[in-house]
Amino acid sequence: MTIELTGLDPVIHAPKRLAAMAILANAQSADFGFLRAQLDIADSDLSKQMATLEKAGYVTVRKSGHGRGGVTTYRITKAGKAAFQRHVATLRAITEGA
Amino acid sequence: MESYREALAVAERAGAAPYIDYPATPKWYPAAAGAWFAALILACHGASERPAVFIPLLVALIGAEFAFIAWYRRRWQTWPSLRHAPKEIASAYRRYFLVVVPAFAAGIALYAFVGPFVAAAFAFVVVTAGLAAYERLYRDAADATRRRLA
Repeated sequence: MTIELTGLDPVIHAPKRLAAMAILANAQSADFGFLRAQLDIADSDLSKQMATLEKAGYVTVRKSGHGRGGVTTYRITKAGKAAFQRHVATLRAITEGA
Repeated sequence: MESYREALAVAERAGAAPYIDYPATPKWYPAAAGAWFAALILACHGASERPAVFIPLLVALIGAEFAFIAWYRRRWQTWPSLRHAPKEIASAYRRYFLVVVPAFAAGIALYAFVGPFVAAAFAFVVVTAGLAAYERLYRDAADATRRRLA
């Protein structure tokens, strides 16, 4: 059997980024604190993962306020949503075709 | 193959998080929302006769609603999309709208044919009781989603 793997996106396939994209695909937006709590990772690690997604054009970031009261909010882009849906569809096709 | 299944499970669990990981709604919220709707009806009624008093009140009520939404959004740290809810939560949404639409119509009918004070009292009782019931419905739906994805 041949399995079509071209829909798997290496930017999204890493588990932490997959989870972040899944959250953002189901939310209008999510704050840094929410993502950190859900992914259960350190601030520096989350910043790195989100920077990778931002660089790919899959998320946008907005910062409001400064210091302790400052909030960083992420939002998925249209390209990010399409890439995430394609990635999940490919995962389903692989697992259901097994 | 197992890693792909695990990846799908990660995506599904994470995708449900904005819906099921939410801050407890304050106990006063249903009654406050009921009072807000009652005040809105009375302010709308009063605006035609005493606009200098009631239009600022209307603006204050709408401002209070926006302030509440902004405060709750900050506590939640996210805001779920209505379109991709897990099936248990989607069912709670559907039941909510099934009650809201006829209740809204009944409120308008009471306002038009009986009077603003009866409509305001109706809104207070229905919104308070309805939101309290919806809070329980949503909590049960979130629990069911957590159990399914555990």
